[in-house]
Amino acid sequence: MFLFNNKQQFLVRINPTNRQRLINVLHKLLITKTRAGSFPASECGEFSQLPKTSHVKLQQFETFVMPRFSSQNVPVEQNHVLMIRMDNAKIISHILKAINFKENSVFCCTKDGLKVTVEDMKSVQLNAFIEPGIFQSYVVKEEEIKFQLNLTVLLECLNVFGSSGLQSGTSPALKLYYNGHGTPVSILLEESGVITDCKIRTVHFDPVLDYDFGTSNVIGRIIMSSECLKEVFCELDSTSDCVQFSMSPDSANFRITTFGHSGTYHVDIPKASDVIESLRCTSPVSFKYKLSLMKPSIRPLGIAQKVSLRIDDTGLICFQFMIKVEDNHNCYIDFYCPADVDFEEDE
Amino acid sequence: MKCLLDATSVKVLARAIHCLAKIGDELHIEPTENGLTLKTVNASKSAYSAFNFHLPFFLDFCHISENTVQADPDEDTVIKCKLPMKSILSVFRSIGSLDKSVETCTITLPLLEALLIIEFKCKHGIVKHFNLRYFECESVEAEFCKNGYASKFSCSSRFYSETLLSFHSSTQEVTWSLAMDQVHLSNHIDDEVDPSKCVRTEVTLAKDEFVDFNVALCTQVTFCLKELRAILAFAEALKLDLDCRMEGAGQPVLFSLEKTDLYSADFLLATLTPNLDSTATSSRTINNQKKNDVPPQSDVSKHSSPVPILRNKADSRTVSCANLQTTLMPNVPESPCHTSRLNSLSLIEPQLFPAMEDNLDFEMQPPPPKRARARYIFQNCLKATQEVREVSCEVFAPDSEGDE
Repeated sequence: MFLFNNKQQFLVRINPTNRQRLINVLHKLLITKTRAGSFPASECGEFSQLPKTSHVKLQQFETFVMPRFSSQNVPVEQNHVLMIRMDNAKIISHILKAINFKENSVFCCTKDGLKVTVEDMKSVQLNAFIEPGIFQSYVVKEEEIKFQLNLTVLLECLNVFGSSGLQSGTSPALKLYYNGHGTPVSILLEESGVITDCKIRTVHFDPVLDYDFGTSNVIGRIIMSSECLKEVFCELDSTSDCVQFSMSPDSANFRITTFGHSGTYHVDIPKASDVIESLRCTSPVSFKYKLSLMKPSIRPLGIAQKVSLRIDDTGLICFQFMIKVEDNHNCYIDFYCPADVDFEEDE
Repeated sequence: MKCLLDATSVKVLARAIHCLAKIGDELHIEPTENGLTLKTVNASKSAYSAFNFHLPFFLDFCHISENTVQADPDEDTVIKCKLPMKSILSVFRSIGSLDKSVETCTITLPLLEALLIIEFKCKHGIVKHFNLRYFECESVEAEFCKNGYASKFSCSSRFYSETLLSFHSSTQEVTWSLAMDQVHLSNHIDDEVDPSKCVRTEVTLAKDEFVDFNVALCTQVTFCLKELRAILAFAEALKLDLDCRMEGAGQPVLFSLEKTDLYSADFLLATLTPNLDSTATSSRTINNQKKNDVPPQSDVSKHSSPVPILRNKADSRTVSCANLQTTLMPNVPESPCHTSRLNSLSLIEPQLFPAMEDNLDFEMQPPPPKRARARYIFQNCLKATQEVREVSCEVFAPDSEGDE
């Protein structure tokens, strides 16, 4: 990684062994004769790729070279299969931070948008969907591009200029490239003239579970305010192993129950309450879910405005969080969690 | 029992529970005709606290648990219960969130189920139910007479906490020296700590800084700060004045606060016995002399002295508790000086009865140094031979030889 500020003076340093090689390379590009040691800042241009450099003493250099690359002169890799450009990288880091409960993530890019999946124990899954309209430029050259990388490392790179909130501070611009299987993901971030270049290695992806959540099997569905549900979840009794969701066409409430050391706690949210936008239930639903598996849902609950819960007849619950980014765009995060089945009761 | 509280009362109740949680590990809930009482005693039985919530505190209150299945008036009972502090604290844990969302609270002790049911009706129509399991009911009570104390002074709780700010946060015990026109506080330094290495803090409070000041007995009283801090946290949050009643060294100290008509609280804290009385030595001599001293003890229990007697109501043999103490005395474990000096509030279990020291004649010794102390405590282990008591009674079954 090589950092420089293109509004100030730029120094190139090479070690003596590579010196001749570098001079040859740089001669092919724009070379300006000037006094040794400096180059006027106004001559600096836009960069889409930075040269790999090493060190040399400056006095040995008579001509001071400033490589100028324009976005058209992308030197080595021309065959990006994926290229994303956005003006505010904070949006993507805001969404991805909410699903970062495990390190490994699978990126799946299609013409419909970017989907990032984080999975745990082949059971719990969080998916983030970002539609192409949020990006300034979204180019996908293949039908479907999939790769796996370490999400924590990606978030650290995205937040290299500081991780202040979505609304506050300046926002870095982002360019993301991927050249296909086996190549690293390149990320360029620019903020106030400072550019950072990162390359993150990709790994051959493990197949992720595809929860076929057909609408025909859904027996209970609620759309409610995310803030209210988050408060309830945060106050759930942590001494309880599991949490139970119950609703039925007859009862007036959506009930959340925990079974802790001190006793049984219920939270009843009436169907008629203003925090519930809609509740549809065809038959009585009552399933238990392990509290530890439910934990990853709390972060997306914190950033979302609305959440939809759907439970199917096998007890699989799907949370869908709607997050508002920018003025009229929404991103969605899905969360799937299977029900806690008591094997002793199975026939 | 069934009661209904509004939003402000719920917050006061939550703060009271937080205060009690810092003092003891179990909460005793006792509904009475006049309201609800919450009590706790700390693990070492050196602090007793009771919160009394009077009828106007509640929107609705009924102390009887009705037998809803069969309307039989004879079956209606008043249920008293005890539950671990952790479980009830988990319900009232966050005062901020109670403030934000809770509108009313109902607390019920139904007759037929062994559960304490707390129901919060919150904003947006959300209802939260907490069904807490409790233990069998046994009550703990301390008898003390508020008017029996020699000295009394009171001032705002904020004043006390500002005074205590002068003390380092690690200070555990503070000595209050009462004089006719002032109260002098200093941190209590244990004998074992090298006097030259510790920081001494002294604060003097003049008479006119108090709202009410009436000192009859000039004395020095030392007790633990931990409980006092918990009391002040409650009192300060509700901006109440705190009354302090003291007798003399070794006698418990009583702190009380009150919100007219709504609630009141009493905190009885044990104090250190003065340095001259080595309780380790006195316990031994008490063992020998107590057996002969039954009559004076019963006299003491008839005094209206402020010496409290903590007793279990379930055991109604309180009159003979003095006698019980004599027979149980020999079993008092001889604990090292520096821990037994905190004068425990007397219980029906064997504990030192503070008033005894006045009546008995014993040697006054300074606390012996560490090694000597250890040797003294473990003297029986170090003895070469055991005292074999001759048991002369008929042998009903001879010793069998070996295992069979």
